[in-house]
Amino acid sequence: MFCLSKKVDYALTALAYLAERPERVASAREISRILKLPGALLMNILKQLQQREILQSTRGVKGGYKIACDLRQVSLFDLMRFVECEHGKADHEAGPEGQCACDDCKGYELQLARSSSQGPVQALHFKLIRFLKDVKLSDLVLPGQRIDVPLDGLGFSKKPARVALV
Amino acid sequence: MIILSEIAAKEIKSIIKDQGLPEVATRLRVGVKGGGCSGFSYMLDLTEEPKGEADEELESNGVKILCDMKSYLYLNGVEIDFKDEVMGRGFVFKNPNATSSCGCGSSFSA
Repeated sequence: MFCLSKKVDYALTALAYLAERPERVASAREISRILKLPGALLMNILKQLQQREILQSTRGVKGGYKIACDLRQVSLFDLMRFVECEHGKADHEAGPEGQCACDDCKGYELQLARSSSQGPVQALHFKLIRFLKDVKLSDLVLPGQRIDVPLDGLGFSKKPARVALV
Repeated sequence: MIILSEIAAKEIKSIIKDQGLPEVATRLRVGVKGGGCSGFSYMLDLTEEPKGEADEELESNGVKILCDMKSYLYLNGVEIDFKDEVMGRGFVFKNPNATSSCGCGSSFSA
């Protein structure tokens, strides 16, 4: 089954938390405590997002993170790449349209596309990559923009029991 | 007050028609239920049940809405919209009462 890694899951969860509080910063410790996420891993992820300029960090006692970019411009694919790639932005090579062209990132896309070498499944992988690029972070983390009840989640209650009149 | 956007109301009416539900008797039950990491998540249900003693009955854009009193505490002022996009099709809640929500996308706390 296709699933997101823990790192991507935690990154999205933390971004949703920060998106709810655009007016203030939140420390990694606060996010970790409230959302019950493992502290050390979360700190790593937040640092990666800060290096990619998705987050902005403030030092100091009242320091922390806040969202620094327009989440409508960042795709889920970008996020997956950012948190899976071990490089910071400084180590990346600038590619066309600001995309990273380092071997790791190019390799990540190819790795996804070639994770099955044969026709039908490879075609599915390309479709998945396109989908992941189409989904923007704003669709997932911004309240009032993300889908809260998918169409399939709309329930149908049974009719109330009717008393038969004889 | 619970506001159903025009597009959301149109979608609900279309579902009622497609499912062969009685147009006059069918109501949209809106509620919150326990679950999700932040405590509550939203619930939408089409029902033929009449208004119960513990229900608020409202109407928005031609759709009759039921909401139990407890849920109404958290949903008063909510605006329900409908989205059809790459992420799928579904209902979006713009809730002025939600102070925080989580990344699971299905819960909030107030």
